[in-house]
Amino acid sequence: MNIAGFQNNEITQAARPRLLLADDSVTIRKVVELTFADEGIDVTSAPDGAAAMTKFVEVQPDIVLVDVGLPGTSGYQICQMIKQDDATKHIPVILLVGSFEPFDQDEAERVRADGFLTKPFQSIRELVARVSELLTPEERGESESVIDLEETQRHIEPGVASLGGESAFESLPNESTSPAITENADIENLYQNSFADTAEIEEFDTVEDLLGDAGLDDELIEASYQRDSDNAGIEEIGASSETPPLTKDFFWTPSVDDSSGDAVRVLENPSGVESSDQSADGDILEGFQPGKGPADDPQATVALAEPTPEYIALVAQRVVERLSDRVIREIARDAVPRIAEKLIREALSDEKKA
Amino acid sequence: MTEAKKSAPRILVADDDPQILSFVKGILESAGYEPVTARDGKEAYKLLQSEDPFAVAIFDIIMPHIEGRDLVRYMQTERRLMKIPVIIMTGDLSSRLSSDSFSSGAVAFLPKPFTDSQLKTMLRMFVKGGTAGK
Repeated sequence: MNIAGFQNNEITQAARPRLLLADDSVTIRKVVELTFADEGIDVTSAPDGAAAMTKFVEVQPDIVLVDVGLPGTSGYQICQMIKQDDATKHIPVILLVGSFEPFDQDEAERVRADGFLTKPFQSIRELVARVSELLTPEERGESESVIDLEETQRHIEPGVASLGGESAFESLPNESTSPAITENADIENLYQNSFADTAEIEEFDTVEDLLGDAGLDDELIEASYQRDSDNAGIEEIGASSETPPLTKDFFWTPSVDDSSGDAVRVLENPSGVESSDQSADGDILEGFQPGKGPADDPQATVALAEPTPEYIALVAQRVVERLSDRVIREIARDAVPRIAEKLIREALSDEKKA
Repeated sequence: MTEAKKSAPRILVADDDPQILSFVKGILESAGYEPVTARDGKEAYKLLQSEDPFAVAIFDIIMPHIEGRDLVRYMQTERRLMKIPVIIMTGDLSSRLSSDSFSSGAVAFLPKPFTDSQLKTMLRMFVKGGTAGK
């Protein structure tokens, strides 16, 4: 039986706790009412099971005392109903057992009663103390630590996943403020994407095979930019060409391969690499014409993979010189894949000509 | 005197009639008991719940908030209180009232008006170690 109509009503410090007593003894009901009135606890009483459930929904008590021998629905059954419902299972239930009533300890445990007291009470203060203990959050925390831990984990795990998902989105503009755990999650995602994409590329022997009949049309390029918007593009290039990762240091000191043709010669120009003079930069970029220089080179196909990172480094260097460190990664994310794909298109064109 | 009071049996007396209350209190003190008085049933019940058990409780049957018979019933819900002998005082001598009082748990019925010797005699019956009548 679902306790319909019950809404989770958190105890506030300002509100008086509500106690529901279900007992067919008028005397017990009166004694409990009198006793807890002095304790700052509002008592609602019910003489039988049906009235108890009605009052339970109506009053939404913070704690329940129920006689196991209650007429109609027994105290065990009422306890079970309360503990089976997610909205009410947190409410402590104390079973009251008459001296001459049979008491089933196993049944009390099965219905997850929080405790039981025999009537007559040794002292009514005993009942007051037990109720106060169960109404105090700290005490409840200790007694239900195992359940709380399990529930906490169930609630936290999706929370972390959600947090990770959001921060993966939000951490890019300002990584320094991102929690370590989400940063790790981002890195893990990058690796996953990078390895997946790299393996895909390496399956092709030539650029033509890679691009297929469709080639690199504008739609495909645009789609690749969107795909790489999560930084995967940087990792992909670094992994596939086995060059150092595209860090700030790499941009400032690009590796040079003497066998790489015109692009390498341009890179060897000291004024291009070390000077921040804009005209020099312009010369470098003008001097590097990947579509022409390597085209006549029989090693063009081999050279395709080689000049790419160097050329990227040049562009990146220019970016670094003109922009602050804060935007390096964002620029690289956008510019590097575009240039790389342009180079692939050029190389593809060269291949076809050859 | 202080030491004597410490060892004297404590007697709870509850009556809404101040004259009766004063009369009984005087008898108890003269007999060596320590009287604790209450003006109504609720006050008496609070005293019963909050203080050490009394040797005897004497209640008027009709009191504000909680009647004497109900007080006796309430006392039956606590083991520490149900052991206390309760004497009911009343001017109504109907047999029904008397039987109700006994069924509630009272051990004696003291009809008004009563004399100090009647009260002392009754207390001797229920209080162990009492000094009444000496």
